[in-house]
Amino acid sequence: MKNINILTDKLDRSVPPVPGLPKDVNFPSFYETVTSNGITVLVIEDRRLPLVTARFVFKSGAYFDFLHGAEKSGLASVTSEMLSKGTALRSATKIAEETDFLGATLSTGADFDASYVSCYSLTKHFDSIFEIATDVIRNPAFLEEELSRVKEQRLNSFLAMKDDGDYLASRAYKKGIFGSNPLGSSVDGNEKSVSGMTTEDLVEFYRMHFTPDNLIVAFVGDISPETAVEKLEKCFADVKGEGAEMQNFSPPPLNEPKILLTRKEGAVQSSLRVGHTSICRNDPDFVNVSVMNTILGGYFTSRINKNLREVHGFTYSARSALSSHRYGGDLSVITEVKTDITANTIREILKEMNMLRDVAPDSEELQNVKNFISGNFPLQLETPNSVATKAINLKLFGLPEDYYSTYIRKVNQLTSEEIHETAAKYLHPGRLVMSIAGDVEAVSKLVSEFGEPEIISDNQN
Amino acid sequence: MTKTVTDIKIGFEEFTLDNGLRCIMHRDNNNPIVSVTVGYNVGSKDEKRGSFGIAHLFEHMMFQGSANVAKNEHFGYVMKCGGSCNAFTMQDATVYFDTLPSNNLETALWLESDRMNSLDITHENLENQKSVVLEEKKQVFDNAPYGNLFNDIFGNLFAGSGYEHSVIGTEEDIRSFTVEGALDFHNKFYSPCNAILVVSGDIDCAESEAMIRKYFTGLRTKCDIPRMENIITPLAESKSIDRKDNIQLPAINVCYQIPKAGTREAYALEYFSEILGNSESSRLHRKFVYEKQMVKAIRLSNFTLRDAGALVIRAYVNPGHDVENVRKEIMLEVDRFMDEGCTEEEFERVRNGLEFGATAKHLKVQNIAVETVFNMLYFNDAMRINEETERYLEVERAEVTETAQRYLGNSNNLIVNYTPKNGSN
Repeated sequence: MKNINILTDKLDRSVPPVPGLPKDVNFPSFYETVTSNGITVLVIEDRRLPLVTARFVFKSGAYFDFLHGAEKSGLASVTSEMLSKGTALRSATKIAEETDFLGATLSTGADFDASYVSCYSLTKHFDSIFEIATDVIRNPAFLEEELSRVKEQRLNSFLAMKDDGDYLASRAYKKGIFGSNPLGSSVDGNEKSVSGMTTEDLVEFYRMHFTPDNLIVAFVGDISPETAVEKLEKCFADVKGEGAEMQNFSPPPLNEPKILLTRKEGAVQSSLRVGHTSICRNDPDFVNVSVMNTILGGYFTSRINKNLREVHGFTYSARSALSSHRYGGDLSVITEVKTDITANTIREILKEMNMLRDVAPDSEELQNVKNFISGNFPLQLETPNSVATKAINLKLFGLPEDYYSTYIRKVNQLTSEEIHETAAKYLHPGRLVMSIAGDVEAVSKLVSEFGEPEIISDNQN
Repeated sequence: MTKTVTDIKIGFEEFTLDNGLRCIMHRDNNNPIVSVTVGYNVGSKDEKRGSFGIAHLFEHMMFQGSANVAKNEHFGYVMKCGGSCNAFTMQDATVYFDTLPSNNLETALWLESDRMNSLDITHENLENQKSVVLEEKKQVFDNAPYGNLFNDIFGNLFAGSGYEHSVIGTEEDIRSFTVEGALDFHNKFYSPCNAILVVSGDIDCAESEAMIRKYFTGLRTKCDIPRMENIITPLAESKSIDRKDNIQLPAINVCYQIPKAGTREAYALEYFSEILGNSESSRLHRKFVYEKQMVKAIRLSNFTLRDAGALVIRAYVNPGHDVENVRKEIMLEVDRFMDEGCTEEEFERVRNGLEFGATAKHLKVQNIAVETVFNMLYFNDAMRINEETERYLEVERAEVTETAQRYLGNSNNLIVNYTPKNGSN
């Protein structure tokens, strides 16, 4: 039924307007140098607002936890969290007080590929916050008392997460596809590994990985390259030490298919994560696989969202994600649906994956995706910090220097047949790990057509 | 004391069409991006009993097709040029936004004008979006830990007002919504004179104004918007509610009614919340998360709506601590603030944080557009975006204590306790 109000003009609204000519979008140039002690420095200067960020990126993340022992999952993450919990000069409370007083932020963290410290403030406070950041990076105290607080906090967080369906499904899924590969562990660690962590572990991780040759520093915003480099030289020129030699770790093999069920008390939905291992971030086929994934479930009008949300009304949101790290990756479909249609959902996911493998996308669909990616690129470059993230990625993942400047051209050169070949090579509907968190009894009956479900016990991490 | 107001000003050009549509333009040619945002002066508080959730369900229907745009094609047109679009519904407003490469500005204006004027709602599309919304309700509220907390808070704090029921609504009402009801809702509220249009980003103002006039001038308007009185009654007495949920950590929630958005009192109470919680050096975090390790996290949130506000203290209690005891200790700290106020250093810290926050949030043209929509809907004043920092800085230290005493110290409150169903704590 139409509700059409009478228009008072004679404008023909049936024809969409023709867009103007797109403006050229170039990846912004940035300053780059390497200090005498091996620190890579990037400066993304942008003087529009009186704000400066300094981002310290150590190229060792949770992937390397295993180098320090079998039960050290979470070590990179705890080590970086502990940096701001006391130094030779300042207590944890003093660091928090000084930072908050400046109205600045000082944050630390880790993911699989790196450990991070960053500070962000108004230009007038940047000297002060940079000095605090330098202190936490150079002089962490790793105090026993502070570690026990951080551990306690983390154990309580693990407890609280036991009622989060998406977290439960994701945890079992990662373990299911990666097995004993480091990527199968959690960046945050687990109850057992965190409970057993000692200050000696932290000191060892710090000594081995927080070295100048392993460090990228990006300055972003209201600062010139000269000032930035001078600041860094002043505070870090005397830092010595080399990181341990890293071999090139090979990516995990393609996983075996599995159905994993995790109990979530009182669930009224199933949280699903369905996927398999995939390529590393620096794989030459990354652009192809990423475009293919965009068609599958990488944007709102993708096949997965159209099917599960708009056609079937199964879910509020459904998407697929290509998650690529330095030493491995995975591709998965992520959604939450009503318990009784769990199997229907999986059938539709399989159908969409097979379809993409079997039939080349038509040229209109491919053109739409190309337009989306090309047009979206300037949106990703809106803030200087989002430009910095890309500049850091070039260094962190060892991408070709011209990766971002040629990215749009490469995307636009892809043919339907190349997408078809990519799907046939990189999508494996027969090898999926289907991880579901929810009502285990109800779901296990529903999904038996896909294989024998395995029930994940509550205490597995 | 010298004020440290940032001197960056955001500029606007404004005009109103004959049909009542208020239009605001903000030019920023730094990036080839433009954001088109339309805010409608309608939200869940305008819903009648028996149709709770309709404003939000209707927001979904706005993507289901209009006279010249087929179902889901709104997304299609925006995605095809690389843009993003979405919408959200609140108690007081419904806001739609499209952010796209700036050469597609006209496309966004065409799309927004078409659905402001005409909707094409089929029974099938309506049923499909009802199931999407019911799954959204499960995912965001029913299946999430502590998911229905705000139903209890708003339901009790604002009983009898338009804020009593939740934005997502009830399953029963959502299921009962009809095509006729949707069209009626559109006719009543989706009118140019009940909307604000903001275009922000890489534009030429003269060209943009011509484009806006081209697409929106011809839309007819009906200005007899039906409004219910939104009467906020102070809590007659303090109240406590106990809920059992599938959670591991018990949660304590202490809630107060506070003054509405934009009032001097609302700004003063932001200081109160930042001094007590939300940063590592805040009083409650320092004492209960760091020193005593009694709670996993503690937050103070100020929800300032158009006609009233709520201040909520939320704490998640660590295993091994008595919930009642933790609550008492937290309240002792709140009372201490009422007696002693804050130090000059605490006050200065909050001011510095607010100054940083006010500067950093204007990096994106879409953020500017959305904030402008609210400033127009609530205050009919786009320039207010530039006074935000000053409004914070005008607050005086003693005033924070006085305001807290008046609205928190001597008022009734609502306590919502969440305890684990399995009782393991």
